[in-house]
Amino acid sequence: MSSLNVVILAALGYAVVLFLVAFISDRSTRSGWLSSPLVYTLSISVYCTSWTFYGAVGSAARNGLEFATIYIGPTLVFLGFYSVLRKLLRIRRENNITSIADFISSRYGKSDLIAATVTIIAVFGAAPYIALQLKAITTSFQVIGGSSDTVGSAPITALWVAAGLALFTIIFGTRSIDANERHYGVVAAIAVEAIVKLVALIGVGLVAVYHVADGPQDIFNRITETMPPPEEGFGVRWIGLILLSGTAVLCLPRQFQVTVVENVNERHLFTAAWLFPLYLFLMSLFILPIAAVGATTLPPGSNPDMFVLTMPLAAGRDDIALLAFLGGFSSATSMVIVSCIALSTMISNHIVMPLTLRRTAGLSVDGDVRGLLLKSRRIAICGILFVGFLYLEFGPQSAGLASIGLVAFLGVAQVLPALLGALFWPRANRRGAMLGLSIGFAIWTYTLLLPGLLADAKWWQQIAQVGPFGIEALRPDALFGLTSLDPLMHAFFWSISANVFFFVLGSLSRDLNPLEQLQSTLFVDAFRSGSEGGQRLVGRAASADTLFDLAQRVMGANQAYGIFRNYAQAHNQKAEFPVPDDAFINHLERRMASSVGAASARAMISRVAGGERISLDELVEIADETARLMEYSTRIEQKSREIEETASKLKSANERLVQIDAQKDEFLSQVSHELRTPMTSIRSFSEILAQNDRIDDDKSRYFMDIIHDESVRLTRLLDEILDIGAVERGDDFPVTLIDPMVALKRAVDACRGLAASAKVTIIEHHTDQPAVTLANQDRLTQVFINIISNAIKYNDAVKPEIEIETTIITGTFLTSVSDNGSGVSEHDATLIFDKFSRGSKPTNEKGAGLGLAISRTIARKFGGDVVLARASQTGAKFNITLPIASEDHNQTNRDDTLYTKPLAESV
Amino acid sequence: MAKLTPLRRLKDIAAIAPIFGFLLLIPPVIGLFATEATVFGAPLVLVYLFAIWLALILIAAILSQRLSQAERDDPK
Repeated sequence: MSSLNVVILAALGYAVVLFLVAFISDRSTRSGWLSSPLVYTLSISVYCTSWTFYGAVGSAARNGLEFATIYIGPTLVFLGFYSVLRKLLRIRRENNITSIADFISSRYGKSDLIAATVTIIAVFGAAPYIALQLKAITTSFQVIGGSSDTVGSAPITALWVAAGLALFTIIFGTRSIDANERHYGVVAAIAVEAIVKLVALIGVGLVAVYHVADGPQDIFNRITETMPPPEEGFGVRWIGLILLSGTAVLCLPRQFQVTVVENVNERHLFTAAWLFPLYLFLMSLFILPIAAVGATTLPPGSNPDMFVLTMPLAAGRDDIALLAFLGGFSSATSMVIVSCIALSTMISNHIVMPLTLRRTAGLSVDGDVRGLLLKSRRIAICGILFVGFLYLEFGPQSAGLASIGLVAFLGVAQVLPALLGALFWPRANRRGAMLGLSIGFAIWTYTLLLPGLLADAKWWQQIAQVGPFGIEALRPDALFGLTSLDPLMHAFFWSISANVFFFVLGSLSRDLNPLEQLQSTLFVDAFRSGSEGGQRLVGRAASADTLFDLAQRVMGANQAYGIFRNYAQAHNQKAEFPVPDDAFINHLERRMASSVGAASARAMISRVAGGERISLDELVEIADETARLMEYSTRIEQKSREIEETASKLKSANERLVQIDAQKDEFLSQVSHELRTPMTSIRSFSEILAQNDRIDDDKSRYFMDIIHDESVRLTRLLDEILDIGAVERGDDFPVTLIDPMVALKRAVDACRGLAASAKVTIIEHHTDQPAVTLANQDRLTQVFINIISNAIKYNDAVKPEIEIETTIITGTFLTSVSDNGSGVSEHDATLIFDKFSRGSKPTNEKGAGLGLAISRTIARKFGGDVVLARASQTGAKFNITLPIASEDHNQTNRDDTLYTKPLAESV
Repeated sequence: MAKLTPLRRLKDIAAIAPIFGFLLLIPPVIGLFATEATVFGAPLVLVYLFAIWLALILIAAILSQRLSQAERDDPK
């Protein structure tokens, strides 16, 4: 049994060594080994706290292999370092991120509300965790120093330890406020501690295997003997714990601090990717042997959480026990130190600073910001440790080491959805992050934190049993009746599910504002677009003096002067202070962000330089190279589609031209044929008259008559051809709003003489609804005359009559002209509208056969048509349709359109 | 179409490796080894767990070494 004095001496000596290491490292900044990947990896091992050192053995003694899940999660995360961790490091470097809260808030529009929320979550999660470390130290003191009465009361020990840790952290952790200036002293001390705890645990393990037990074979037997049956323990909880520990290694404020913020070189990650998992593997290697040996050799009822100490003590190896004590001390102190640094930075940057800025609502930032930050950090460190101490003294005493650690894990795990969204989901926005974080945090508090804290409170036990207000579905350990999971997995399931759900829902519920859009691009496309590219879109202005005044308050005069001068030199500006353009203001904001966090830096710069005006158009344009490429290819695609369309249009136009050309040829040949017949008879009869003198007068008069008739026919034919040409070109008849009834009446009147001479009766039925149509009065009359006169001329009935009827059917003025003749034969029905066609019926009419063709062409010019509606044996029926002009044009009075000139002859 | 450079291939492997590792270490796969069987006296599931763990560390080492090399060859 080592005496108390030896233990105290060892602990003090160890503390002195740590102070020395930190002190020397701080002096010799940037020197070789301190910026090596090995030191970086060792500092990450702050993940292994006293919970690992003592608690893992306890967990192994109770639940067998389950302890390994806490190290498998981080192993998997580091195996996938290239996709997540590397991106975190890159974003941190380009945006001067100071903490996990800063990271999240910076991504979601530099929101101070989000930063404060994450800070509060982190503090809530960390307080019991820090208490756990203090508890481990005091308990180990009691165990190794003998019974508790010889050591003095535990609270005194805890207080002394807390005070020492506060001192160390304040000296080495708040030397500067700039996140770009690493805490070399702290990092070095933690690296040393990492080695001590690994060596200590392996030492205890070797004692267990070779001193107490008889080598590996005996250990395996003891493990088989003490471990719960292997079939158990691989269920939901196993999976959940792996996920939880993987989350914790990313989201715990202290892990973010050492892995991301304190990183000096991105390439160190390539080493840490395998070296850190190897460290965890070695730490885990002897956990089971120690647990098995402890369980088989120590008296029943011994606290398994202290096997690491009690086992070598019982074996008589006081030296190893002392080493183990120092190992546990290292695990606890390194965790507390880094946690305090991370948390105090978050508290000062995201709670104290925004509150100060809000209080001093004036235009400028008053006072010494740097001093305020340092002071608030120091106070925060003391505060955190004091809260931890209070929690240790007055908090619940029942919880084992492991369960407190897991409660903290799940608390910070609430940050994960927002973190992954920040890295990979461009649409994630502030509303979603805020909703997810606060709802997840609330559920975690209600289902896991409070049940632990208030386990001894009567009123809480009441709630836990019957639910709040007697609502069974809201019982904290069986939300909505879910009882199949243990409390941790129950809280895990509900808090993370709700968190993710509301994060996604909130993000989809609105678009990103310009600043969010900009930050989203900077984060999600961290490897693609240069950060400067995005930053230059922000337009602000302020004088260099005002900016310097602000900067020196935040960073101190020396550093601020350095930034201004270096920038001016780097940009080849002669003056001492650079031109305060957009680029410089953004540069300064990012430098200030490394001291006070993105949200506060932005708020301060905005006070002197005005709010940023981000051009969305520019932003969208440069935002994403992929988007640009896609747009380009879409444009090319569109163009080729347009070309294709044009080509097909040209093709159809060409076909149409060929068709029209054929029609023209046909027309010409028909015209020639039609002209040739009368010309032939005129020529032959005139030849006869010229060559034969002895023709009597009667005969010659007869021949002359024929020549005259044929000439008249020829003239009429040429008139019609000219007419159809004019109609088809559409010239010479302007269209106006007219009443089709007027045109029809004129046509009927014009045909009455013809009808009388052919003894044809005309019957009329007219609609009394008024109608107007867009047409030409004379041309429309011509159409009616043509149809009616045809009906008269071709009517071969014994008692011939024709019927004219007008109706209005759905926007169409319909005129039908039917006769009771022998109709049109089926063969003729397809031909009569062609040019130069006459019905096959023998008739004495001498037309060129262009009448119907002209009528149809005219009607179509007016948007109507002429069709053969009935071609039966009992008579033909022609329908003339005309579209009725809309009502507002319906002002044309029937009386306005009196016909003034004689009617054209029927064709 | 982007060319499948060694870096690109390695990136994809690095992204998928943790998922495979996770699947190997959770039920039902790990349940297959949770039996009474022993290897040299050690419970089978214990040996399996630590062997996979060590293999994952080895893969992480190889991947990071290759990625580091590929990044140097493909400066982008």
